[in-house]
Amino acid sequence: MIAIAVFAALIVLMVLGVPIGIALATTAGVVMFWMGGFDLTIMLAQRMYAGTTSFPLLAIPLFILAGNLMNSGGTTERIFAAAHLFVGRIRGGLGHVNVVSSMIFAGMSGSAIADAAGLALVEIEAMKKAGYSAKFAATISAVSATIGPVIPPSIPFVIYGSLANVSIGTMFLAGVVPGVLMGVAMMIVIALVARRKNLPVMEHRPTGREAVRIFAEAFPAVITPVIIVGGILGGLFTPTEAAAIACLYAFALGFFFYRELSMAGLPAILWETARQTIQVMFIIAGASAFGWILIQQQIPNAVIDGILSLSTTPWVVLLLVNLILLVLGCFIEAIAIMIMTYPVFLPLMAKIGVSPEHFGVIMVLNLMIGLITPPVGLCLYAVSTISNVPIRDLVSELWPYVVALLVVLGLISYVPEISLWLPRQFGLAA
Amino acid sequence: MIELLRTLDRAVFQAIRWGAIVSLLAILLLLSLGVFVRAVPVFSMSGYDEIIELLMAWMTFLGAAALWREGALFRVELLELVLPARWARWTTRLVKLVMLAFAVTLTAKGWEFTAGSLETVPFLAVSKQGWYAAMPVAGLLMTIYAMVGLLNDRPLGGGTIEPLPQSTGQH
Repeated sequence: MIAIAVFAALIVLMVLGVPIGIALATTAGVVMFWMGGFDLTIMLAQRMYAGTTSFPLLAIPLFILAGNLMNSGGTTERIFAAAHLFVGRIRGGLGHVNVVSSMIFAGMSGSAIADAAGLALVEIEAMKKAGYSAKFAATISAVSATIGPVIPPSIPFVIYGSLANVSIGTMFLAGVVPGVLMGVAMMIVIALVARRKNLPVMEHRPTGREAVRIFAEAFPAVITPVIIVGGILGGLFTPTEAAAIACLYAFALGFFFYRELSMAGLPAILWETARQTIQVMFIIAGASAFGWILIQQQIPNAVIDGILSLSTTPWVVLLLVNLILLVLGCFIEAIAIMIMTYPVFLPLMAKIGVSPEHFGVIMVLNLMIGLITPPVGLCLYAVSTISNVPIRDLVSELWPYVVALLVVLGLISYVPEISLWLPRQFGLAA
Repeated sequence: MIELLRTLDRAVFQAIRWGAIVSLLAILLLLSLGVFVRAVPVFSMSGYDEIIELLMAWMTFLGAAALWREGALFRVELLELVLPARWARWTTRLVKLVMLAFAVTLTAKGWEFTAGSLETVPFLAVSKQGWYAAMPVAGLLMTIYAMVGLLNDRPLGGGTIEPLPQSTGQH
């Protein structure tokens, strides 16, 4: 009963339009007051502070910065050009290029929003010039941005790893195959849509010399994940430090190699990064206070008992958890969901024999689908803003891709090897 | 008087903006230096995590106050879009009241938490109150912005992410 009241209050505040971080903190504050009067509300300040200053979370601003430096330093265009070499000549080729670019970009930035607000700009312009509709271009850009946080590096995996006490390096490896699978699923849908809509085929075929130049220019960007993940697995640096190295590398590429970054442009990039970071961190602060009251009220146990009373069959429990995460993803910001629900779902997963690494991938994929489902789909908002395509138009074009992602989610949920095979090869997962 | 307040408001916003930029840059440099010093141990880097925590706390809380002023904290705008204008205005007022209540609570409880802290930062050997003070200071600013927001009766802004300005080389 308390669980229902707490979540109902939170959802009412959010639907009214209270900023998400404040809705979480206010709900937590009211419950604290109800539990122990004004004295206990001091925990609001204590939890909000603790929520924002955990060391692994420092990777968040730095991976956002790496993405913004790539977008501003010319790296994004090189990635797009390189992806064009590989898949550009297929019917509807720029749709495929869009997805492959996002997969490569994902190897440098851990943020879906950095992809949706940066790389998408290049992708949508190029697709419109080539005769694709703005609606189609914007939809593919929003959908493909969700690959970013699944292929390493990844901000959600950093947060999940630090919350669930799971190696972040292991989580990064666990995301590789599912991320590639997401890309393949999107490309299958694009191929079907391309045939039905008779989408354009690129006529210009680059010469051998052009192809070598394009690939050579993109190569330093393409090898970034090897540097980041290799450095973490090799014990050279922690995931947080890896984020700093990714920033320095992105800066070096833009400033010295591509020569498109200038010192004069840096303050704007840093402020934009700070803005995006603060938006996320303030939600984490509120969610941290909210998570505390959930545990104090033993709400996780109540939810676990509720789910297990419906069924104890692992595949049914997993299905219910996926449904809950998908529904929450339509209304609540992804990181807030993760912080609120991990104390509930992690013990439940242990009871049905799902490893925390496997569940981390399942949870992040659910949350990424939430980024493109209305009413609270941040990638939709970001792409709609830069493309001037209304949200309703994006939504009408979106559903085949959402179905494809749900199929991938099903595969990942019920075939643990997809997530765990690669970490096992490095001796990192049981 | 109004012009003086506007100038002060702009100055505070610029100070927070530049503070956030410098904090972010400092975090990046400290972390990178940490990796370098571990590989080439030319000097000791103990205690840098305490400075990073300080920078992160102030950047987050003061920055949130700046985004509050801009109406740029993430929120759901669904109800405002579907309700008739009159109802939407009343909803906005209610939201602003909730935000004011939160801001006042953050100020009061943040201050109580800061003033009551006896912790010291191990390496720098100073009181941790300077770290925690980010909350009551940000709460106070939010309270001022919330009261101004209630008085001027303007709609709240949306929290959508804007692309980087053209001047940064964004295409």
